[in-house]
Amino acid sequence: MRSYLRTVGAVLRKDLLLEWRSREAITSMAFFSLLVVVLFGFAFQAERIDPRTQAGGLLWVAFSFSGVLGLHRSFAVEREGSCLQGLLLAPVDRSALFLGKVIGNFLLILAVEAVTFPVFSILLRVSILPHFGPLALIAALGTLGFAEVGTLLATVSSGSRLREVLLPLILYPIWVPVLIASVEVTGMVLAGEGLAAGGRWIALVLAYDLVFLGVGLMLFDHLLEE
Amino acid sequence: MPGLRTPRWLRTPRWLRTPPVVVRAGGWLPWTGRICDIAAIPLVILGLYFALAYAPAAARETGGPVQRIFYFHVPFAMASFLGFAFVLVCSIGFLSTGRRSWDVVAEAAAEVGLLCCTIVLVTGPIWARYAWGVWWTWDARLTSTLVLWLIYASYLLLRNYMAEDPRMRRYASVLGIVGALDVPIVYFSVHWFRTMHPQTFITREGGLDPDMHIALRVGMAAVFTLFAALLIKRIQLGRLQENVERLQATLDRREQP
Amino acid sequence: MLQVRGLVKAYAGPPVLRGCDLDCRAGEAVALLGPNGAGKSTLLRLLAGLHKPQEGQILLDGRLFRPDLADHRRRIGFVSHDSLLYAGLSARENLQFVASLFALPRATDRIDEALREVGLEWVGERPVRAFSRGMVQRLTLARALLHRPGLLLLDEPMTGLDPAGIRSLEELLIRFRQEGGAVLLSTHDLSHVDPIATRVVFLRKGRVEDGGEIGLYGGRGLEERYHEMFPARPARKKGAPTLPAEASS
Repeated sequence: MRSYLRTVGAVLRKDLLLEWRSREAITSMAFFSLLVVVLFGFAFQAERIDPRTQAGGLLWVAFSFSGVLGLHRSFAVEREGSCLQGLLLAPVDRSALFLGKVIGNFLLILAVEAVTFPVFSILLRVSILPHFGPLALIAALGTLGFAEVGTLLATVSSGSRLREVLLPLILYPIWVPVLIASVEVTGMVLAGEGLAAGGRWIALVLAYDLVFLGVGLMLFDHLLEE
Repeated sequence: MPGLRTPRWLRTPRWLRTPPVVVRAGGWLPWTGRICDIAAIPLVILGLYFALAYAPAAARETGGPVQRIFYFHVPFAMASFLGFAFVLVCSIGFLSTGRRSWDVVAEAAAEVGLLCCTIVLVTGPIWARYAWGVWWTWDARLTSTLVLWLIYASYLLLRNYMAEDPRMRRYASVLGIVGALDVPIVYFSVHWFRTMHPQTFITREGGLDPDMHIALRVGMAAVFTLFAALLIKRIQLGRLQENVERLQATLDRREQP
Repeated sequence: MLQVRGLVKAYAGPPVLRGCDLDCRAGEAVALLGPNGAGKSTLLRLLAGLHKPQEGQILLDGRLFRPDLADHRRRIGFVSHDSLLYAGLSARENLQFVASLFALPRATDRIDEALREVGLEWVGERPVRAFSRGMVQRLTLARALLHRPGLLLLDEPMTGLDPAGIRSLEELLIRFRQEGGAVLLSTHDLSHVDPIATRVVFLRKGRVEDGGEIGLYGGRGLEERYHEMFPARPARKKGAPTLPAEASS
């Protein structure tokens, strides 16, 4: 067990260190996310976004788009120098590699969200500070689901030569239920209705996170076998 | 015998000739397929009769005469979910046994499932347009089927884009499992979404006339038989393709000294 | 230490290895020679555990080699033309990552030692991106040796190295051999086989066809034997129509 966690930690540390050195992915992701918010601002031509019905959707669409950028990078890094082979030669559990990558992607997207929320709040005049706790919870749960399925499907799509195009195509339909749930809960929280109102949505996202964590851990090995 | 050929006027015309059987795909599949083929046509005709004539006319607010689409629309929606059940089981089967025959069925089920989804997504709007004047209603069944269609399509796209890669079947199986497990979650999320944002167009399934029930049952029998017939045909096609590939590989091997 | 019997491997097509037999003892360095497509890379990758053979057996120290067992992977080091290094990290960080994957005790000391062995201790903090080809190759070697494997597999390690690089590779491999390790390498460079290898093996179309101690091929003997076994294609007669050139297998 300890060696498993050590492997997860090693992969995570390596990925975060690599990203910190170049900071390419996080800057482009954050920039893209902000661009989406601004574009929507223009598209809706509204001085004010309705927190209950529009805010959640806008935010989660921005996160979904920028999230895909981050997922690509996670595997592009292993392709250079065939580092994936290096991981396969090591005496480690392959599912630990998966978990390490999931957490890395999760933290990366969370960081982008941390930047997007304040800017969104200022530009579109939706107050977020009073709802910080509940927002953080739903952001974390939703993003975790995205990271799990995203990491797994990024590996799947990396097999094809059209990997950048294919990833959104296979990821977004499967991501729909969590999108619906996250948007609903975010809307409820921003409108001041509180988390309890969205109880069963949160249960749905939690179930999704658990199911696909298990599925990813079990199936990742099959993807790495040559 | 060289030099001895059947005179041209005695030969079977090409359009009447059965193609030579390369390898027998044996087992229970061919005769089950034949039974489904034979049963499908009368069942479909029966289903049409029940839907168009036997079933009572529906109330104005559910569409009047166009409501009769319901007796095929719903069974096709069920069949599309059934297709995903097949994809799930066969993808797991392929990953655990490594035998290609599982993957052949998964691909066949995905294609037939996509077809059923498409039919639902075509009949639904037709009904909605004539009943309520709008082409699309974000009602639970239609929306779930739309997401299902997208998952099916992405699965088939992946297979297509990775066609030459030997890892394709494994990767597609993983996507198949993830997609299939997602289906119930999609169903729930869309249903809850609809109950929170109810629409004026309600497609009631409860409170059906007993005659409507019968018509629905007949429709289900027809559609499921059709599903089975198409699935078996597609599996046989997949097997033939596999046989062709195997023969090709053997030929390639023979050419090497 | 290593015994290979009847190895058969096919990807999506005709088999690349068709019943390959090989032995490699501790303290030996065996050179795999053969034309392109003979199966040298495939054999090495199978021995590294990256692929699974269709048929055949690989025995490591008398026991069946199971690449899915972490323990077995520890005994092998693999070097190919892929660097297996992260260009954005420094040499030391790369080795630290490998050390944590292999759960090596006293990692820092071991890393210092490894960097010294390959002569890179003075660039430990520099990002790998700034390294020359020779330095990358040396670091890849250090990476492969970090966990002190018993068997070292090298797939054309001398590609792209300048004479100094080749010399330091030779020294490293000789030292590794003398410390009891076994080396199996494939190469196209016949002139540098002698100092490194103790035995050569000729591989053709997925089978071992000939081989022997390096002493048997004194001087130019190795090159002559190679050209004898794998003759270059005869030159085209002037004016005669030819078939289109066969694609190289």
